[in-house]
Amino acid sequence: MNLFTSSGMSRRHFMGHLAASAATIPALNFISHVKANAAELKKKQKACILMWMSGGPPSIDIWDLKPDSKNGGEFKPISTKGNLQISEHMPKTAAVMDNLSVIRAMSTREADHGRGRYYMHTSYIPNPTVVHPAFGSVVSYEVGSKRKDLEIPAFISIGGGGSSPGFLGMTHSPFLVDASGRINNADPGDVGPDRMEQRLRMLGSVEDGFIRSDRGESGQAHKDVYLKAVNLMRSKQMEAFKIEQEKKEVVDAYSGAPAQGGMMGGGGQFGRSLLMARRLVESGVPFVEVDFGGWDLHANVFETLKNQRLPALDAGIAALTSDLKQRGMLNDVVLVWMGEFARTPRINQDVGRDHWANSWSVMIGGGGLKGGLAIGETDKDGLSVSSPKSYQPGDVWATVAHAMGIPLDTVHKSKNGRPMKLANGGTAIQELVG
Amino acid sequence: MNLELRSPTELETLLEALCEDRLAPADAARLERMVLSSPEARWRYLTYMDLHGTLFWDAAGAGSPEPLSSHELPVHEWPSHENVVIHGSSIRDLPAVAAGVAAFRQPASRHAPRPHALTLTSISACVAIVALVAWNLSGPAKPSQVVVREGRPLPVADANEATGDAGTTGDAGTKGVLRTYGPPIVIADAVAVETDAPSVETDSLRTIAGGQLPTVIPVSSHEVVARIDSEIRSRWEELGLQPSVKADDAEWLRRISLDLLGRVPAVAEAESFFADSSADKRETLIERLLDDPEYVRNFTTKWTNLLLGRSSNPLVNRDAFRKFLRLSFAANRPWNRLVADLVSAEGNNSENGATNFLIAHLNNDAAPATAVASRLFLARQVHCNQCHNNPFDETKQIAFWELNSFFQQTTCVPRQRRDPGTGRVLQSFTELVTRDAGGPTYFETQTGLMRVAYPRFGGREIDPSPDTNRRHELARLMTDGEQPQLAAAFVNRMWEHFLGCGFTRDVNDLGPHQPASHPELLAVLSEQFIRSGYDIKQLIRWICQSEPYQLTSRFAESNQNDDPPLGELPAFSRMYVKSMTAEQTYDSLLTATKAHRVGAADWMQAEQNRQQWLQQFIVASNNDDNDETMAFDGSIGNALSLMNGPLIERALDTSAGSFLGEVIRQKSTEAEKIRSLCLATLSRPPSPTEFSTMRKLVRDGSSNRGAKGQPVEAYQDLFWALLNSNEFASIH
Repeated sequence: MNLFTSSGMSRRHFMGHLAASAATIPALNFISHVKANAAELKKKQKACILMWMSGGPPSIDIWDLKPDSKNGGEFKPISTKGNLQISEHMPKTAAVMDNLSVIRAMSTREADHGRGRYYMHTSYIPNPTVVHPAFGSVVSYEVGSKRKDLEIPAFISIGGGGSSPGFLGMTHSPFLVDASGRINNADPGDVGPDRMEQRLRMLGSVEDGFIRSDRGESGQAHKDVYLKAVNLMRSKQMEAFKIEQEKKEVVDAYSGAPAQGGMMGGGGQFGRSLLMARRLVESGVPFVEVDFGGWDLHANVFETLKNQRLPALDAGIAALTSDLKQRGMLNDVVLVWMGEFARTPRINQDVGRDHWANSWSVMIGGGGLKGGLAIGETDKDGLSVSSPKSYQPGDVWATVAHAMGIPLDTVHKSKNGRPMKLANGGTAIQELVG
Repeated sequence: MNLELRSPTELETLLEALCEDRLAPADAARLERMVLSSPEARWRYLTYMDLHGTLFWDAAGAGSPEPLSSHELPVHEWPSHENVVIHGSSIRDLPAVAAGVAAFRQPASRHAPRPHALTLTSISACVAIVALVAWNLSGPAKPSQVVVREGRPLPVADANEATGDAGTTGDAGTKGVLRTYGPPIVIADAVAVETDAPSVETDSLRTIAGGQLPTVIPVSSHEVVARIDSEIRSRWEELGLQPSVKADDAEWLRRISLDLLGRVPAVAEAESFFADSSADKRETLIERLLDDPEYVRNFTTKWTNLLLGRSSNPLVNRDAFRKFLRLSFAANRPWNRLVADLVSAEGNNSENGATNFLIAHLNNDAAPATAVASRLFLARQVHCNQCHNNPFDETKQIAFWELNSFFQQTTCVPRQRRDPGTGRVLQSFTELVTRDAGGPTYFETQTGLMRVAYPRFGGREIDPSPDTNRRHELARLMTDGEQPQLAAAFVNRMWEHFLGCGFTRDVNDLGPHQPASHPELLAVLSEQFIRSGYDIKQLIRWICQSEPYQLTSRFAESNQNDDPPLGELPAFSRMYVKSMTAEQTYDSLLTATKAHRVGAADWMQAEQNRQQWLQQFIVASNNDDNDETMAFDGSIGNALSLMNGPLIERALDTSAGSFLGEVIRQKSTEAEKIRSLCLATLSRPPSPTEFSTMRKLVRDGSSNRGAKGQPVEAYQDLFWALLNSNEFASIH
């Protein structure tokens, strides 16, 4: 048996694909032509902001409270402007809940940090033979590549550790920035534009020589990434990272309180990240991930939530939702809130909650999806999904794809030729899109 | 036709598709035929379905009425034992499983990591130390007592049982718990005990791994290399492909310098290699590089990253660990002994650097230590077995906890050495301590049953009593004599280091479900490695002298599909291109540019600069698995750093001492200057076409000239382009 015949895709084929995507990087004059109408166009552009709750948030204390159960804990539910109740420690969000919905019937299978992170980001369970792209990379590939006027990366991750673009290639990997928005090394310093041009001409000559020497795909991939880096360095869109250009009231609203010790000091990192996300989306970035950690609450869950996590979360979500709405962008920008899993309904001896994937909630809204709904439900103690249908990450991402106009029958091919359905073949959630 | 090799993968692929509900009808028919064809396939089908059914319903909790939490164990129904001593509040009735057996750990479950692990992720080193002290609450148990560790830090007021070690305190002691039940470890005075002798030569260790090495039967290097070549060739013939041609001197020299020394060759090294016309110059160079101190540094870097990770940890003394590895690699310490050193190390982590391996991974019930040791030394992925049986592997969940049980006597304690007169802190360190505790390790199955595991390795159980030093026993069982798994794991990893691809897709996994590209060759090399006395340098010689290592990375006419990144198993009919690691990039940049001479920093400063540069790419995950991301991965952020970062700015400096400045100022022609820049970066002269392009670009370039009219900026720009190129970033 010839091991090499199993591949449906030759190396040449793959390189051809890479070359095609490289060609989509626009020429400068084309950009300036498009720029004229860009501001208005961008407002209508579809985007997704993923609020990633690193560590696994206790959705039972936030979105799906069980006040009558021994698992319910200390918090009480409150009514919202939507048709559902949420935690009393989310009052600002409650006031905008008519725009947001909660999928209360998530049932995922990975309760390990690394595996859960992979599964929720990619819709696929980890597999040693292939690395699946995070959904942000899929959006970069499907949507970002088509935005000719986008000069900064199409998938930007704020404050997080990143995820792999898998077989879609490094040009679709998340661009990592921290909440300060400072981009290291993007400024060529004393090297003026002409001189940079000269350097890039020389670089192009050396790189092309290596690519022609025919040693595999890595040479071309390197060149593609450099082209993206150069686009970014030269771009006016870099302004989007500078949240210091925002008014103090706006920053305060996102942070939930007057910023301590100047705008970049004190708390409110989550709020600042969301504000940056809004600016990026306005500039045409189709996928922004905002990392908000500190949810691995094996102990002392209620105190931590009440005093630290929830006030920041509440302010951030509410401010972002209102801000997008005011700017007429909420119908085009999908908001997704999730972590790698949630936490046990049962409260442990340390007044904490442990890892739990069986029955939990994901929040989703904007993008023209229906707001104010609770999709599915869990039983009285929160231990299992009691509605007829439970949901997987693929269903969430299929819903996002639907909202963003990415066809659900899109299929990508892994490098070994295996067809991979968008969002692992998940289906858009009818109640939200119907 | 090699069905044995293919079947498990295909079966797994189909089963996976079935479980993920994307099995096409044709695949279903194929799966059915396969399952019906052999008892082995039926067994795999059953175990796979059993596991995934269980995982889906049970791991996520749907099948059980209660969540899987260690705090909800069925132990309440068990009779309590009169000798039970509990330092805690909520687990009241943990049973003694056998009279006179001391249990010393709380039942573990992945769903219930300890609070200490959570605390450890805090950015504050101070908090981490408090947490670790808390975590070490249970000292050596008195025989016949069961001591249950308290998971939650107690308030200080509760800690009146603390022994208050004279002269020894945790530096955050006033804020949190400081309670040890161990004998006070008193460091009487401040006499420095720092010694240069490697701790690895202590008596206890000599008895562990020194005892029964297999008789060394000298097999000539030539014979082993010939065997590698014949195995590799026969696979080419099976696949009907012709290998690429031999790499020229420049390509090979660059490759071996990067693989052995971790950096590109310097210009002078390249020139002298090209000028050498002797037939055996490659062999001679391999010998010379193996004796080079940079070989030691390179492998120290590689193994420090593998064994400790790249993130910093306040309890770990990285420098001491590097020193331990340096001494070991410099002395070419046999691999099995080196592993024994790591597994059985004890004491002060600044004096015995080897202790830092376990200190880095003892958190979370030593689950990381178990998983990392198994992965790196044995190439077995057991982290999944922490929670469930592995369907593709004969290893079971209990095997994880049996291995874990060997680490359960071990704890680490932050200490300080004080001057007895002034009370001034002279040294802070971590001590790796073995407590004389015994008994089983508890774990929880998928169905919520509590089970016990006793220390057992490779089918051999050891005496679980407190008198046994379990890690000494583990070192013996894992490394003494003929250890095919230990050898194969190392051989596979080294093969990957040099050839760019291991025999299995993942060098961390040699489990039975992983098809190997050349199973015979792996077995032969492992056997020879054992017979050589686990001689690391000898293994390197064999690999570097073999035919596949001599080949070019260019494709040939008939091996177009030999490209593992596309998912194929490697045939090694060409060299696969590797990307430089962050460390190789940094060290190569310094070699090529002599940037470190600019500003004339001392060695310590140089090392600090290196660490600082590397740190920008490291992102630690904040959870209890000790995960981290190395973001030096060819992304846009990396490109920006190399295009505009301070390092490249120093590299382009033309002041005295810099390579570029010397090239520009030396009395040489334009052609010679361009050649020097190419040699320094790409380790080869430019081709005639490249040369004319470069010369044109230099002439057209900036008009800013040096004192003698040289186009300084133009050369800087060319050098910048070479250093940023895909070719520079590749090991090919």
